[in-house]
Amino acid sequence: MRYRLGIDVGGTFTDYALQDLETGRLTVGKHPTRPSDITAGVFEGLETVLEDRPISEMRQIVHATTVASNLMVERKGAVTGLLTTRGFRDVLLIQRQLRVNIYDLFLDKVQPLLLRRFIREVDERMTHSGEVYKPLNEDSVAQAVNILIDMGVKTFAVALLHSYANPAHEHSVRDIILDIAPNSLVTLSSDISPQWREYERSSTAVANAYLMPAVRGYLDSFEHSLNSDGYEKPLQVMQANGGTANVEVINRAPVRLIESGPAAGALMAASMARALHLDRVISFDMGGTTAKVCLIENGSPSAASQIEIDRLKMQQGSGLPISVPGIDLVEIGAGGGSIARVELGAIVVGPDSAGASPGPICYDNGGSETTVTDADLVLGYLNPDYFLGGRMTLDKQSSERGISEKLAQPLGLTLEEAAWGIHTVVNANMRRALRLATVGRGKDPRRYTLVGFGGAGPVHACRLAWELGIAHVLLPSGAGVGSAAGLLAADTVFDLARTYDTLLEDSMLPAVNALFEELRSGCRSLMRDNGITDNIELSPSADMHYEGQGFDIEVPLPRLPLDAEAIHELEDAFHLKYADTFGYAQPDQPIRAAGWKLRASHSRGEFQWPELEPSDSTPTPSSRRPAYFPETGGFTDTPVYSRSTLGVGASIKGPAIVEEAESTVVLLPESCAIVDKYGNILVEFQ
Amino acid sequence: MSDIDPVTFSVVWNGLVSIAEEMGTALRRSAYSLGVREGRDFSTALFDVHGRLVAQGNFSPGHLGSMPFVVKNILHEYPLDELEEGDSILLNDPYLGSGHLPDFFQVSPIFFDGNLLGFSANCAHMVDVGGAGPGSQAVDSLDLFQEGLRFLPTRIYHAGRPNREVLRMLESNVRVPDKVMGDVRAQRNANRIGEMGLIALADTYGPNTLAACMDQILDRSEESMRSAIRDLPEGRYEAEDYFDDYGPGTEILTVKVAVTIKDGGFTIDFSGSSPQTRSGLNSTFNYTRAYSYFTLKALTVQDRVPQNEGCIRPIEVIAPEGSLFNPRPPAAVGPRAIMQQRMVDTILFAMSKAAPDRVIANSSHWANPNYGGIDPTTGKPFVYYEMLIGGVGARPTKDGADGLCSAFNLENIPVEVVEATYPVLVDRLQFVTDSAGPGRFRGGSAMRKDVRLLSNEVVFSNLTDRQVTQPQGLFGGQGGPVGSTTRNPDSPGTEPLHSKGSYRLSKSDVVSTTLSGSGGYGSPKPETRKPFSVMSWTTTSP
Repeated sequence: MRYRLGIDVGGTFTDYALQDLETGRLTVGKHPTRPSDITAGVFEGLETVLEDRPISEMRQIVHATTVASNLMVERKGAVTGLLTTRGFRDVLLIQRQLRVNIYDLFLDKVQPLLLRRFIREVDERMTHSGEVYKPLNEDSVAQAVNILIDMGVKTFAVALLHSYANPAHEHSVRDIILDIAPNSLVTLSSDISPQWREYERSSTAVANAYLMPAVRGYLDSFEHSLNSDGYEKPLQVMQANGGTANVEVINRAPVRLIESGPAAGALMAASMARALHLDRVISFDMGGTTAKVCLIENGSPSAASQIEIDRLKMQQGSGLPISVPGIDLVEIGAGGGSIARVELGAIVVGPDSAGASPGPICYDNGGSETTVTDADLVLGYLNPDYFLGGRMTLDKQSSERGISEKLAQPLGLTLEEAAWGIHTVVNANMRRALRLATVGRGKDPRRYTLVGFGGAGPVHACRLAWELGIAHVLLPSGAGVGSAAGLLAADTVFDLARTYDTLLEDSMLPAVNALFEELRSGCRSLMRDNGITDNIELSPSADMHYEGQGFDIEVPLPRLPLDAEAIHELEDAFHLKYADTFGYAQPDQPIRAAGWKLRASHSRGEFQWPELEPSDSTPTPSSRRPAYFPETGGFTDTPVYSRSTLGVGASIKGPAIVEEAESTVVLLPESCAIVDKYGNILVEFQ
Repeated sequence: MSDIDPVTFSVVWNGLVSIAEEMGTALRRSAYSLGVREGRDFSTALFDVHGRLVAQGNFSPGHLGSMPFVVKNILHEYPLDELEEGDSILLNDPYLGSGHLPDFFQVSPIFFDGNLLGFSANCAHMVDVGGAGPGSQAVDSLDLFQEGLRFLPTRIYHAGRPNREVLRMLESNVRVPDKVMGDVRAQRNANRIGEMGLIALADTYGPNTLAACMDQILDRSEESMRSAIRDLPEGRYEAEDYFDDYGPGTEILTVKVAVTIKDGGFTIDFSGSSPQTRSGLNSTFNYTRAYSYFTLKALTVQDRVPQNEGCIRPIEVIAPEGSLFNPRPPAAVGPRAIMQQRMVDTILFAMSKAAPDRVIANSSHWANPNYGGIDPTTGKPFVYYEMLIGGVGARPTKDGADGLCSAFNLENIPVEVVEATYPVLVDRLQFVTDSAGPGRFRGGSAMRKDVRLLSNEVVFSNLTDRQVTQPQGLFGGQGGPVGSTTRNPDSPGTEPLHSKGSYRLSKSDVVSTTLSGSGGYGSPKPETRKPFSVMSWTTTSP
């Protein structure tokens, strides 16, 4: 078995990456996604990628899919019932009451996954310290369960108050449900997310119950089809945290599958960062409608303890919260298709997008909106005859007309000035996202390397870096299908977390060590279910804050079990990290910790990026065209290179343009680029 | 001034707004009190050299009225030549600031190459500033001096160094000094972020271009606000509403609003409203302006024009001195936060004649009581600042949202976090069945919350309204039911508590708050309301 295969099913396209483990060679492919029958669509595309290689030769297949996200966004999951504590039926409907636009009197909250009548209360109550305040009344449970079963519920979520502190009542409720209806699916909030904050925990449990029937159906049939074609191993599935798991584990916790697609892009950047020994990297993925930014330090993408789905205009706090660990992405509505217009005498770009269809004016497909792609075309950055490797021709005249009419004339600008304005303003929006991901988290962007990919990433990356004072830019080869390659770089990873709110002091040690024993056995059993028993790396950490503060900082624990000495080390580490984030520490203040986390990972060995043969040929431009650079006085005669002709070690001085099928690299004046052994373009400013 | 190129203008404007937002992120992340952290009761802003507001972060609308004037008020006390880099000036006087003592402003001058470039400022609600009642917003105060510590403009950081004498005085006069001092430091952080951001903009584009952009931002915003006002029919539009009272045994208060639309400007006049009260229920003129600006912006440009001084130029607010909406010092003002909903309601009702498709029916009234006492597990004082939000009034095209507010913004504090932080147990938090005002579109449902006390000797300062006067419906829609506060509901010792009373409660007492429901829009007759249309996901029917 000599191959590994990554399959990333996206909304529009399915990307494939196939690696030959003997030669290291990487083959990539792209095929349209078929929404009506995803599995059939994937297998069609697979044939063209595999050619004559038999599927039985696959050592491993890693799969990422938007199935779970789509079920939630389209509200197409199963009829789900929720059992909760008496007095708290409305937790999912009340939500956190945040208004993402304070001036909008017509604003509504995000629609929950179930109707109020599918939420039933049971008599019981725990306290925050896990003591039983009111015992569970089993009759009230049976009554509620029977009503829900009569309403057609087959998948249940159970979310009782303070169950993170003591899950006993949730366990009893599960037993009663299974007594009454043995074939029911049951999700306990204390299993799926044993953390405080009742809305987020209930929302997570409900999403899990809601997804379970359909995700099981999809993954089982997908794996079965692969097996009957000769694939002998378990299918590996990508999780939101950037680790893989097998189908059996995901079937029990399908919420882990949500947002697994965007994670893969960041993993590709992380893998490349490790291969090049870059400790500090910003992953910048700019596609058609959005740009996603992620910090990667010491080879690991930064993690978020919660993800959100179905946001209103991408605004934080407007979507359904899911308390599973994800990759910490800042996403904004800035992509090639983002629409440019004039408001109040200023140029405004996005967040609305012309999408892929009808698309920007230059697609000549009925679109009438001027977009970032139109501006990039007018500025000479894009080649109208070589878009998507020549599979599409762009109509530059339409772009010119659109920008003239909609922007240049109203603002009294020339065509170039207006196009440059669009380019600059969308960069300003992305700079905001990049600052949010760095400065907003206490990091200095100038100490990082910017990795630009996605269809529009390499066009904008160098300008953005220059504006932010970032000295190094990395533009990976095959930028358009990077996420599928990212799948091949994924390890098996599980994150478990528990809430235990305590002052950081010696008296907490027995409870915390016992808690980690549980987390450790939880991780071990998840690994065992994936057929992994050794080479498991455990990384414990804690979410900590100064007593009275609410914003947590995650600090790694020095060792397990914890002892008095370790607590001191932990305190020091927290003060340091706090000072790093906020500029000063408060060593005289007591510290609290509430979130305790354990990450278990099993590496399947570092992904080997294929190395290219060294070449001593000097790069020669395939053509020249005028491109716009204010540094050289505007439109400048610029050499254009074809990326496939650039050998290892090839060096180019900006201004220059490098074209490949999936994207275009724009090199600024006073920068120089060199092709490394993996075919990446490394840019430095002089 | 108009020779700034549009690209630079776009980028600078974008930059100023994003700096104001970054200031807010820094403040929220390093704040100590739940009110700032989760309640989002703060705002941030940048000013030009003339002290004009050029960008404000979109946080609490309550500070919209005071923020534009705060730098000018501070310059009055500290002339420019006395200010130095690294200074921060504190101000919480309700009449110069945001209407009650807990709102602390900090203003910092920003210098570039030795010249003044502008100011960064922020305002945050302190959980306690001393005075008679925990939380410093009891209704039964007779004057400002009972409500806590008051700072006219006072330099608390001088050239980067803290003014220890003043800070020690502050620390020793508040109930929860750790939280207050932590928040004061967080405010200083936020201003520092603003300072660095503005300097970076000046460095890139030059201070002169930056100043020219600021001028242009104000002019463009004003133009755009005026043109939105011109879309509305000119005329004078009036409405009247009420507050239940201003404490146990007091009389009803009248809220009178007349909005005049003329020549691309709004005049909003509170003449005819009740005189100022001998209680804390008084809205300083700055606070009255804040909610006037907020409501008129919600009806016109909303967030399409970022907030700055230009947006408010076309709006004139009138409230006679000595009235409920422009009291004379030293009238007490602590609980003014519950007055904002009525200002919004009444302005919207006045405007219903001018713009029936943009207004909504009366929303539920919220509750903002404080519980103070000693936590038996730690032996330390606690102040539990409660914020319970009702429903939004019915809209012209759809039902009102349940359990959301229409006058401000906050994030509720999870029950599990509340119980781990304060000695209380929440018995229930739920929608109130049938609390929506009927209508072609019904109002949003109200909420009920029952809080059981786990400590003795608790001082409970209640703060809510609409327990006597109903939230009204519009265009034939009916009103929502009134709310109530009850001690020990559904038990033999049950008794009603006054919406603005202060009480001493003890362990095991339960305080049950039911908010009023919100009003409906349009007639609820079957020929206008489709049967079963109430079965949307938000329904509160079983």
